[in-house]
Amino acid sequence: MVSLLLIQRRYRTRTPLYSPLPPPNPSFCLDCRRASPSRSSRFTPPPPLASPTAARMPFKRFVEIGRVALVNYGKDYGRLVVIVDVVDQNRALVDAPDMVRCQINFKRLSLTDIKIDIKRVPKKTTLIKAMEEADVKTKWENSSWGKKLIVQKRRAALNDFDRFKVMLAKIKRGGAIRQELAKLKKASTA
Amino acid sequence: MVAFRFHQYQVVGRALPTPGDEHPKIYRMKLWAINEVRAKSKFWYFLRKLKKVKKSNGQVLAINEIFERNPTTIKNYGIWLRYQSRTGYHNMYKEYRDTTLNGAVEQMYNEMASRHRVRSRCIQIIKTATVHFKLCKRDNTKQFHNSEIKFPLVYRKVRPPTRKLKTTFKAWRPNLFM
Repeated sequence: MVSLLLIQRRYRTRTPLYSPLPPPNPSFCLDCRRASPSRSSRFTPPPPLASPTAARMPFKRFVEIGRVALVNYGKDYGRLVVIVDVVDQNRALVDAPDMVRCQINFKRLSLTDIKIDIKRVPKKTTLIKAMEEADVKTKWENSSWGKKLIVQKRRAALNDFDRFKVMLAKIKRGGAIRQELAKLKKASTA
Repeated sequence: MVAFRFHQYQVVGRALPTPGDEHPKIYRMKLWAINEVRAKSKFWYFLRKLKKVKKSNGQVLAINEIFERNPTTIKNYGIWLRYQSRTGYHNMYKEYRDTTLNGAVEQMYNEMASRHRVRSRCIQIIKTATVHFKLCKRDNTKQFHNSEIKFPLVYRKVRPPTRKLKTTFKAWRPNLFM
């Protein structure tokens, strides 16, 4: 019950997808101009119309040429690819330095925040150079998403002895935390 | 690339040489079929309608599969087809954007089946061509002729990376935002 109300509240306060037109500028309203003659001497340009490229859209990641995406399903699972062209509504032409350019469905892609500067369908060498200039690898590895994936890979590749070492380290860390907690408790009660 | 259902074949054949005609004319056809056997059968079907020759008094000289020359570039394909509906025969022109001609033809067969309930056996491909983007007719293909194309993915259904990890029930509501 409670969660439903929370969700309803969240939906009601969500910003609209296409924000409404901005309020009319008084300097362009004829009645206002007639009413206040002093304002007519100052020319204020009309405010820009809300366009999809304006920052008012709630979407931050777009399908565009140069967008870096992660493949989240299929044979190339886990690979970082660059969207190089758009085939149609559902598919993109996708390229990476170590694979043949191929088309892939958007359902298999997770868009990232990284975007590189390339023209439509660049040569492989141009693509590699652009990726190097934009420093995609370090940006990805420093992002929280990329870091999580690296940790996941590391954990999956542990052998039994490594897992034993991890267990010991966790016990040690837990002990240290509990010691500090005990000190704080003592300080608060004393 | 997923295996195509429809392959493009080039079938070359002629009537058998007879005492009256020592060197009969050789005909070549490019057609789509699921396999080579069906391609040869289709070849005789069409040739029968065009020339006075049947499989019994003819021979297939060569059958080769045609593969896409540049499967890494996107092209606009126009397909002219003749199909049989419940009430008669009609012609159609359809446009598709794809990297390969086989992919576009497969799209066409799927679309005809879904939009018009036409089965693949009732479709005859008259002609296919790569259409220059300036000559495309359909708005659906023309809207992608934009070198600065940009759109968000609005409905993001997150799915497990392998079918094995699929579960019937989940403990949380899905987040459909990208």
